Amino acid sequence: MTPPKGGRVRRTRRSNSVGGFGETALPERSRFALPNVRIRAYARLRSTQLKAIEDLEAGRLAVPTVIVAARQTAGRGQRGNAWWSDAGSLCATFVLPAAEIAPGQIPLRAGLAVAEVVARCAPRAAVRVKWPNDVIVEDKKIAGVLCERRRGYDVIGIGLNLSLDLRRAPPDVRRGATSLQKLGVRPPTRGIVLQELFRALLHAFSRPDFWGAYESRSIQLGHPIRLRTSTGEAEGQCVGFDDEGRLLARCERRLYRITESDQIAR
Amino acid sequence: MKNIHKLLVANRSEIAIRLFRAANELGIRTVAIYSHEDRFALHRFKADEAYLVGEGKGPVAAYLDIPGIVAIAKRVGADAIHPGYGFLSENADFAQACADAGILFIGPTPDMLRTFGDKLAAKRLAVQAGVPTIPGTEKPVKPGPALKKAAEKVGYPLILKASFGGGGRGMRVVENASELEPKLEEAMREAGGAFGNPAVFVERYIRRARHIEVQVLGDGRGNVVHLWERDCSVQRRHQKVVEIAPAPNLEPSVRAALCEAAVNLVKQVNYLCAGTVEFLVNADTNEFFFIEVNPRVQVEHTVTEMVTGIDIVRAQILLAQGVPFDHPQLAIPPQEKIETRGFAIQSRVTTEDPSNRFIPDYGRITTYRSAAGFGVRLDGGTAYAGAVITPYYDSLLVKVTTWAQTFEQAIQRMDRTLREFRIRGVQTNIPFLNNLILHPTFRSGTATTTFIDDTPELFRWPHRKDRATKLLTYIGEVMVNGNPEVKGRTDNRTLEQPKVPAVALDVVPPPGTKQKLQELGPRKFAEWILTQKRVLLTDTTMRDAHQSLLATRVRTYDMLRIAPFVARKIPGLFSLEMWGGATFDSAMRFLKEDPFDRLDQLRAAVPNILFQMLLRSGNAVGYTNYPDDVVRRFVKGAAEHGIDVFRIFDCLNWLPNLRPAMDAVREDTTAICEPAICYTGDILDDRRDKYSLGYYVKMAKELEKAGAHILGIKDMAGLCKPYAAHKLIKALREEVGIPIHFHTHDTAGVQAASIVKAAEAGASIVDCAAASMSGMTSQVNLNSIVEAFRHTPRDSKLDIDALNAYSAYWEGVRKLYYPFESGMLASTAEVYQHEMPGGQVTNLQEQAKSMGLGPRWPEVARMYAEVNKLFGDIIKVTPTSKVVGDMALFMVSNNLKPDDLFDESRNISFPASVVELFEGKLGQPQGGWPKELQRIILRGKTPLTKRPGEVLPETNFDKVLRELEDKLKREPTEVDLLNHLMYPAVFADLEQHRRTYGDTSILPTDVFFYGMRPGAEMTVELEPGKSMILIFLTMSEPGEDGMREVFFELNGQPRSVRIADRSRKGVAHLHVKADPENPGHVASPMPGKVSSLGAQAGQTVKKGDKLLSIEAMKMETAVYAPTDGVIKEVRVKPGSPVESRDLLLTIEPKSE
Repeated sequence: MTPPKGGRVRRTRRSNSVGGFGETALPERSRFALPNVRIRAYARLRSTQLKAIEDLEAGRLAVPTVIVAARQTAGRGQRGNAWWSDAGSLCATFVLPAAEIAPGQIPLRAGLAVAEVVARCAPRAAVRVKWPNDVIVEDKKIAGVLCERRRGYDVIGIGLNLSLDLRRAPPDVRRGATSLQKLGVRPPTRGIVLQELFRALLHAFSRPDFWGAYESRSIQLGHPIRLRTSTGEAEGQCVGFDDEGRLLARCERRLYRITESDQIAR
Repeated sequence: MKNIHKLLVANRSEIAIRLFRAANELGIRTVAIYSHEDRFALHRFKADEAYLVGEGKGPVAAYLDIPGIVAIAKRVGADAIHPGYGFLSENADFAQACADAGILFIGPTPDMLRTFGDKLAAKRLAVQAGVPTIPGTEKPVKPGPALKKAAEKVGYPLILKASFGGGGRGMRVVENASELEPKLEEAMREAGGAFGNPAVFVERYIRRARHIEVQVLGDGRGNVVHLWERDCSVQRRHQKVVEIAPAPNLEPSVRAALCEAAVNLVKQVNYLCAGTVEFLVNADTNEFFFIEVNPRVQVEHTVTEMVTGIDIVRAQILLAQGVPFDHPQLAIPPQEKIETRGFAIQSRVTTEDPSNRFIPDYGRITTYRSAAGFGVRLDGGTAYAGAVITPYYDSLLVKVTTWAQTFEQAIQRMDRTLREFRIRGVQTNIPFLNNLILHPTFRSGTATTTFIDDTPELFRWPHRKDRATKLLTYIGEVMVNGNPEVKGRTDNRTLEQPKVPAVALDVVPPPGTKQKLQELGPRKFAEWILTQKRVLLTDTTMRDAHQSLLATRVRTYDMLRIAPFVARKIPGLFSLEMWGGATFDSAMRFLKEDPFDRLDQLRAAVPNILFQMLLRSGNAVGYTNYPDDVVRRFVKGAAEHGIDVFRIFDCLNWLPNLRPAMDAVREDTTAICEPAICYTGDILDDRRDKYSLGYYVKMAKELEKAGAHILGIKDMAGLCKPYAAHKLIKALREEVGIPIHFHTHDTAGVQAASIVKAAEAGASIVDCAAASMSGMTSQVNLNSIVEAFRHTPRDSKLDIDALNAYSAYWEGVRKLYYPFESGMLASTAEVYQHEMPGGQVTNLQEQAKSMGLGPRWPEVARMYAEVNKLFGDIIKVTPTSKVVGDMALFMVSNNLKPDDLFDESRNISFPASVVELFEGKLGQPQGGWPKELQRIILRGKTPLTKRPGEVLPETNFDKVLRELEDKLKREPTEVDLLNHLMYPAVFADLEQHRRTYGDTSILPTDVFFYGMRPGAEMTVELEPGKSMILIFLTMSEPGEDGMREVFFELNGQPRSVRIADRSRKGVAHLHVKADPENPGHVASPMPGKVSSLGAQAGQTVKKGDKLLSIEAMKMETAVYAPTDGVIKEVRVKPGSPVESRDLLLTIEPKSE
């Protein structure tokens, strides 16, 4: 699935599966197929997330769709932060019908999905999730997830570092990022990763044992964290997550329900 | 045999205390160790001596500090150490260190600990002893021909398990051979991904497993006895929750085999001390398999002690010293004499919040009242009022064990015991435990290890926040944030409780009009009225008087307190008007009471006087038209709950609107049907001929023909001057044969004369109000009218002393409601100009003030009269009076003159209520609508000519009931249904209020509106025989989260509630929830922050337009307009924090 140079290539595959859209529609053993899923591959995009939302709002998108770009020129991170990427990163946005779970769980579940795919790619690495959904290996970030819900659809943007050349990265990225290649793993093809991500997302959005799985990957659960409160910073402990996806932190005698990752100093 | 003098317990909390108790009974001195974090823990104080251990090591590590513990033992001269359970209890190195230091370790030898600590070694031991172990492969399996054979040897169903398992990853259940290979590949892939090691083993899968364990004791010389089994199948995430001894429903042969296997197994090593052999029992086949040996005392040893009578800890201490079984101190009988008697159950009460996915809760226990009594045993840790629960350790608070002769009785005792507990300040799992032990599966003794996971209903329980806490929360809320009803209108005046005049409650109220009606039936009763010489009096204090003077805010509490007095001391009243009109809405909306409760309670207190209500015909007790079947059902319900007189009026005096309600009363009840003619205009003024004497006479005749029992004259504005009253009543007396009931308002101050003239002309019944609640916009003074007729043929014979005491009571009550006083100081003749109904004057003044038209009030009043003229001089009473008022305000605020309305180029957008009025949605006025104005207002819409109730569809009550059940999450009562039919949203709010705060109608009025003063004491009766004595102490400053703590003393115990201080902007926000029933309410889909806002008030939106975004957890959720319309209010700003379901903005949906 190497994208050709320039322009947009539309590769639409439709299967004749009668199961419709859902986990069961995916045959277990097929290698590259994503039945019923449209894949739009671009050589260059400002951001797959931006593109997905523009197209969705304009009614130009049939769902489910994966938008993938070989290069992003203005990748989006949280709250308008930039997401640095190069040719070695996988930048994809999945557009799925809104899952019937509390919206706040979507980012956590998506994060777990990405973490499990990373774990499958790098079996020896301890792959952890930092709430809500940074995927961390050896204290460094290997993947980031950004979610939006629009018009009854979940828009899941994933940036996954396959083989980043960090020498050209800005210093903070260089310090804090890692990639599959850096972990000594030969990254699978983008097609396989996309397919695994897609399946993992579907699984994560429906699995009943999600909380157990998320908790066991959590880097924070049971550990001290530092909270930023209106009057300064305070030491607390992460005691769990609630059904709205909030991080629960106990600080002195009080339970805080955290919704923003920047409420946590570390 | 070694004699222990001093025993150190290397453990904490409940088990440490349990061990001290056993040692103490043996005359052994006890030593506790404690971590820095445990320096206030109870176990420290239960020992003879206590020493800090593991300083600087952290809370858990302190108790694992082997050298530190041994050093303390040596230093303080302890000659034995008991490790309890957990921590170092199975640590062979610790046992060895003790031995090396010459200290007796209470437990098996280090070698035994090593053997049982090694799973494979233990399994080998089991195989040697002929004890079955779970069939499985010893080496990892791989796909290939050998796989099938290995699987067959193990037997289906089987489970594939990753070698480094955990969290269910790499596990697959395989039902048959065909699934084997694919599932193995999956499992290997998953295991490889998760653990970096794809090794997978095969093991027999037991679908329905019971966890049964056998307690054994050994003397180390080859003698072993068992103390029978425990059933520990009830587990959550591999943590035992409830344990039972003996196992219910276990076949005797299986039981015997298990115990024998356990004894044989540990005999192999000449077991010493107490131990437990754990088995899995296949509930379907009764096969059992060895799991492991726990070489220590178990948390759940209590249940075995209860059924065998053998003290296991005492046995541990003595056996470790080498004491033989038959020693008198130990007295363990031979195996065949060890029996179990009855059943024991242990529940582990923890400080975990079961509604929050069992998150451990910390903090100070504010209230701790434990249970006791026959068959109850408590093994508590740091559990007492004032104790601080720290986050560092296991959350076990107290082990509750109950014993009884049968399993069912033991469950009943456990249920009672758990309910007897009162623990406040920290969350506990008690509601969950209660659900669990009462669940049919548990009760039938068939629970398996997946019981908790498979039974989601265990996690649903009625939110059992106790009544006292709910009421304290309400009072705290009022004191921190104020009651919104009186906000900004209060001063700090001292209020006194109104004094209730004394009355002997044991005296049965004498029979009154109620008994007369029951005896005669409505028609004969009406005839009886006509035979009465005395003037009959209706007291309106509990309805129209406070509706007119105090904005309908008088609470049931104040009515109930005086009700027994009324029944006994003023039984000669014709009726008490105490229901209907605006009281129904006001009770639910503002006073948070159920109007039917008011009716029921007053009815019980006043069994002898007729109860009267005001019914707005097709509008019932609301402001819109209801379908006929709803009105009918409401009438029936009201009569069943105690209404005797239905005064029915129509806001346009339109007979077709009156008919259905009249028919409902006559056909479905045995109550009195009193249709009322609304009086307006002036029959003395010949120029105002629209509402002439002839008009009223004609209508009266029609009503008589329609089946009225009594004819009501409703002079809602007090326009019926004395001579008009005389003229009207005289004419009516001549033309109709039914009694006449005259109602007026004293706004102009001369209506006492009208009452006298009306009575003189033949009115049988007149409406008055208690002296202190009379005058001005209210009714005429009851006490004075009674005296006015004294010594005349129409003397009412009511007791003036009683009436004055009654009035004095209401004077006291009225003071409590001072924020609702209108400030009107004297009666006014202006009413003859504007013709506003009594209740509307103050309301409209308020409305004008809120629109900034306060100083222009005279203009508004004049405009009201102008609008009435424009509308064709209509009857003005709720709801038509409100429409006239809306229009008057609209015109004054827009500087419109009457002529401007007819200038179509102005394209005036009329208020919605005005459009509806001219559409005929409230009915048809005498003489029809002014045609030209109607055309302009309706802009081409066709008006209704039929009765509005006629065009409304029939109600599917079953459907409504089902919907209501979904909303209430309980079976709705008829009263719920009626409340919901009248005011769905208001009723939902009331329900919410009651869920949050309980029934606040039992609070005294001053507390309800203003809270309590420091040091003030109050007694609230929760129900007969159950009252709480409450003292308010103080209130904290708001914390950084904007919460204040409000401190009380409840029944002598300190209690506090935490309340968000909403005056602190930006910290604690006023989170109003969106009403899911309201199509214009836009709710937040998730908690978070408003990240972008593209909507503003006044903006027109189309369904699906993006309004704003909420961001949290790195997720942005767009919120769209749910309907076409105009944005009325935006409640958030960019950056505002919101919770799920918070009201973000409201849209006024575009009308059809």
